[in-house]
Amino acid sequence: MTDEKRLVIELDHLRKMYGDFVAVEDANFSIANGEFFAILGPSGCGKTTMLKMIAGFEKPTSGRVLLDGEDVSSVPPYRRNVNTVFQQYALFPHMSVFDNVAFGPRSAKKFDDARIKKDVTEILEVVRLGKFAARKPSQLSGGQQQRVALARALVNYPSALLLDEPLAALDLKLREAMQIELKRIQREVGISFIFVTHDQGEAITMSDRIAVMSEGRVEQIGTPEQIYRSPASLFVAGFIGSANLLPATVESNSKQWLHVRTTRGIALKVPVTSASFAVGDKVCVMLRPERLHPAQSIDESGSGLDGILTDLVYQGATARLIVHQTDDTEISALIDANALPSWARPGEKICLVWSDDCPYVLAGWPDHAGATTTSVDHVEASL
Amino acid sequence: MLARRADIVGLGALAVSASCLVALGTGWFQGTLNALVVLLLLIVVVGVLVLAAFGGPEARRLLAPYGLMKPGLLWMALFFLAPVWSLVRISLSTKESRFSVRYEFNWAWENYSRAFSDFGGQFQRAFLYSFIATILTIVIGYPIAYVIAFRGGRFKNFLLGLVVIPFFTSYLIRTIAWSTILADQGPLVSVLNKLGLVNVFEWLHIMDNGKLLNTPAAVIGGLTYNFLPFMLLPIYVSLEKIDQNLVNAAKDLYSTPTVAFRKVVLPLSIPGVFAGTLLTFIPAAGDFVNAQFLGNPNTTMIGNSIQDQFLRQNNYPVASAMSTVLMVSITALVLLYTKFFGTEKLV
Repeated sequence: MTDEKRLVIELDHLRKMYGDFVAVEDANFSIANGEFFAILGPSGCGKTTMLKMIAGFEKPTSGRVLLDGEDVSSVPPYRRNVNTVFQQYALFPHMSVFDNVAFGPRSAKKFDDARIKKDVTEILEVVRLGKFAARKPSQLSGGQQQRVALARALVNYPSALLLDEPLAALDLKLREAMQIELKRIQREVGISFIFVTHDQGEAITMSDRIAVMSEGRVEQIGTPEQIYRSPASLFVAGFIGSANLLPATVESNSKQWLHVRTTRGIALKVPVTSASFAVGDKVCVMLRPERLHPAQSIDESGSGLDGILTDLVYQGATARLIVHQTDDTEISALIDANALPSWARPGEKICLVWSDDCPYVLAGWPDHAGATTTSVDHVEASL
Repeated sequence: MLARRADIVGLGALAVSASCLVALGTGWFQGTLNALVVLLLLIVVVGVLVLAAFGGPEARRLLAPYGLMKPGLLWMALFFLAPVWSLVRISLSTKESRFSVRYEFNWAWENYSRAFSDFGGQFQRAFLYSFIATILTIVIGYPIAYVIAFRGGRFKNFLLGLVVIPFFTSYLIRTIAWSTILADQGPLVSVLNKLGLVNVFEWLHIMDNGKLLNTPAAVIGGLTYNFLPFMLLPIYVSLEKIDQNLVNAAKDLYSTPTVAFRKVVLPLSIPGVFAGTLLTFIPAAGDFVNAQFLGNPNTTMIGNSIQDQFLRQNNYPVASAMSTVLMVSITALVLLYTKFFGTEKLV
């Protein structure tokens, strides 16, 4: 990662239409050398189409793709110096692991056989598959196939590596191990990885930066922390992590605080963000569940909500509290299981309090007030 | 005791009843002995059924596989093993007299030498014509199968339907229809005459003396036409199974579309070509319909000669010898082909 500032991929007002359907709308961002970049969004949001346009399998309707500063919009995939790890790996079943990995260099015809053999052997060591070179893909486990796919792409020294849902086909334990493995390999080879995923946890743990997409639009680009702490839209707030969204109206604003009243009639004060709001604007207050604490009453100075504790889900290290407010919106809190107060029992009255810097204000009212991702119907509707 | 060894009983019953059927089919025994064989067959079949009915669940479980194999195996014993036995036996026999229908088995190897000396040309032609026809079905069928599998889209089933439609007409009628199309006064010849392409076609050895019909090319063409679907469909099936992402992966790894086809699609479709070759070459080598309706006396294939010797010359011994040679040589060729191009190494 010597020249970290060098841009490897630049998307210039990229747009893709299928008939009347807009698959990707005005994507305009760039990815630096050595970056681990995630394109995150629910299925059908256009993230795979975006990846295919970078790889060259789809032609943009308008806009340009620049690779190492060169316009490659109409260059076919076999002349682009990016390589793809396909979702189901797409390993050639009739070739050994070695031949699979050697496929790229042999087709490119840049190096002689001795050099190719050395490169392939080296990259197989990097992905820890040195001993499996003679095997057929069908004789390997899912995780090993995944690593062959990685080696097959990386052996070509691409400017960037594109990964299409690379971990979706693996089971949970293997997925977690492969997340660490992918990071290690990326550090070792120093190539930018651009990976497409619908799993927000995966995107947050692995990437340097994330582009969140919804319905063809890029909603926000930023570091995982930026996206988690200050989501740019209601969609991002709901999609990344879980959140409690309270619809409210602005009553007054000062330099530091915004005073709002929720639709339930509760007055809350919220720190001012870069977005400006006028009195009377419809806004939404986001409260992250892990920043809410149970209390028996709301003291004068602090902010809080009250309700009935309807569910207490013990999760080992943490416990989730589901609180129903009088208007039946659900609020969820995530607390340290050891800090669970003895008086918190399902069916009892409970208050949830927070410190002043916890609430975050967003424009617009949510479709669904209260906690995201607690109700099955709501999760299904958002997918 | 019998119930616990029901599998042995089942296997034994199968072997005995199959042997009985072969004996009956080939007429090994006469008179009373024949009646005894029928009796033995009945006893064995009824015995097994009784064991299955009263032997308990374990006996039934052990008998089941043999019971399931029985219909097929007995059918094959009566209609395949018995005729083959008779065929080989007659091929080594001589007629008792010119007008007799009785044969005397006397290791008459001269039938085989006659088959080779008199019909060597027909053997050669049969293998040559069916070999060329097989190659042509690959050349014609592969691209069509490729287009249907990869570019067919929602018309896939419709296009496959078009491939199968000729089967709704009988084989014989299709071949006779070709003799009308290729006839001297037919549409094709007159068009070629008008375009002045006759010389080119004669130079290519497709036409002979201004004729399309009754030429080797017509016979090979007929074979190619009739066996095309048997090549096309297996190739289609193997192409259909290929994941489009494999082609994308090859392109992603710096292969042009041509190289991607040669290195990925072609090797993965070889099992289909292999199956298609067997389904085309084997029946084509024994075919006599195309040579009869589309050929001339100099294009007869071994199938025509066998038919002629059996049905017109009534020379069963030589006809049987020819059939045996054809059977053995096709088996040998297929075994060789499987050894060199067998698909077990793939995937």
